[in-house]
Amino acid sequence: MKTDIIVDYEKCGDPRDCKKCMQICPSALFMMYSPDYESNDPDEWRVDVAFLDLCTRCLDCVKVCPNQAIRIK
Amino acid sequence: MLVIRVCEWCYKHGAGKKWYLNSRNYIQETAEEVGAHEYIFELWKNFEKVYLQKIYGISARGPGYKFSYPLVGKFIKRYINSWFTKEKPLKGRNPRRAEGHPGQVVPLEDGKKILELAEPILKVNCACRHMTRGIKDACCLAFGALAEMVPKLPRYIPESGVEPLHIDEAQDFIEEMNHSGRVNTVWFGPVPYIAALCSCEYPECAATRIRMDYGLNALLKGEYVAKVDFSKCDGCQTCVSRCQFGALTFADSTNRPFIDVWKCYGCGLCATSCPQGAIQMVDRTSYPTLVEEW
Ligand code: SF4
Ligand code: SF4
Ligand code: SF4
Ligand code: SF4
Ligand code: SF4
Repeated sequence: MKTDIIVDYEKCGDPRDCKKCMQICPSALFMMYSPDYESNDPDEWRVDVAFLDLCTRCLDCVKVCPNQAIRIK
Repeated sequence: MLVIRVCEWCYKHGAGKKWYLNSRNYIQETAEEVGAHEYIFELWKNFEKVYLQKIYGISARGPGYKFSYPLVGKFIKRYINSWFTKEKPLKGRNPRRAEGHPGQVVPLEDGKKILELAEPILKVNCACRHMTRGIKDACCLAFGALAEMVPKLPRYIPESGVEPLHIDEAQDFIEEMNHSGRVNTVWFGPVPYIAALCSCEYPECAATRIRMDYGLNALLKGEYVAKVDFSKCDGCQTCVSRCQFGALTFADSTNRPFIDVWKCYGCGLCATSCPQGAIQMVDRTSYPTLVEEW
């Protein structure tokens, strides 16, 4: 089964203030990144699932997200 | 098929010892020969980007091809693996591909010996844990050229500041890390210069993850494998929760742990937890069948 996880960056905002999805994922599949890692610009920071093939579709990330920013396909 | 032999590293960079116990790999002169300062600055500045874009394939402008197993076909695997072990040119390897930046698992005792050779030693924030869990954990020990570049890389500076550690403080620190279940790993930056001693955990550690789940050789197995002395072991099971590499299970029928030496990374976490001192770390090369298992 092929999984895709889509994060709506508009809804997510600045992941550095939240981090809930990255901290709840049992398999640590999320990555937080920015084009410039010393940047403080909230628009530049994003979270995404890096290892889709390891995702179990447990939906913990979808449920924990306070902004309903995570969609799973 | 690319065969990596750490014996080869020891042969080339160990001066008769293990590569990471050769004092020459820590000195300023070696740092300058390989251009470690510029290399390390670029790599650490772009650490997450190197992993995300170059290795996992996520683009900072949005998800790119993403990392999935079918895409990491033999060719890509071999290609990416060749970056980590690249030895030439001495100066001018590409830090944005982590060229010449492999690491190896070391047990506590060897970690302590490494700390006797490195100077200065600085505690810095772990990039992997920040990227995967958003936490700042000052658990990496940066040496020499890397330590000198840290003031220019503010996100690595821990709350405790950039005061170098004394050798004994650093040794106590890795002992603490070992007790809490962290695996020590030593890092070239770039080969043969030695830049850091880390305290890693699967799955947060980027290198352990790509090694364990995708077979990419950013991190190699250690110089040892664990061996249980059944006569000393009393079956207490303390060691069972210590292995992150799936090499140790407890066998009910013998009431003793079973260590699969093919899977063992030689971290020694099982050995340091054993109240009976029943687990010994044995040289990997003493097993003819394991000399190519890195
Ligand atoms: S569905 Fe579960 S395993 Fe998959 S990314 Fe979300 S939390 Fe992680
Ligand atoms: S849980 Fe939702 S809002 Fe929080 S960082 Fe993750 S995607 Fe963004
Ligand atoms: S290699 Fe280990 S300690 Fe170093 S940055 Fe990665 S997880 Fe942290
Ligand atoms: S068996 Fe022991 S030494 Fe080997 S990888 Fe597991 S914990 Fe480490
Ligand atoms: S911790 Fe030591 S004594 Fe206890 S089961 Fe493991 S090897 Fe045996």
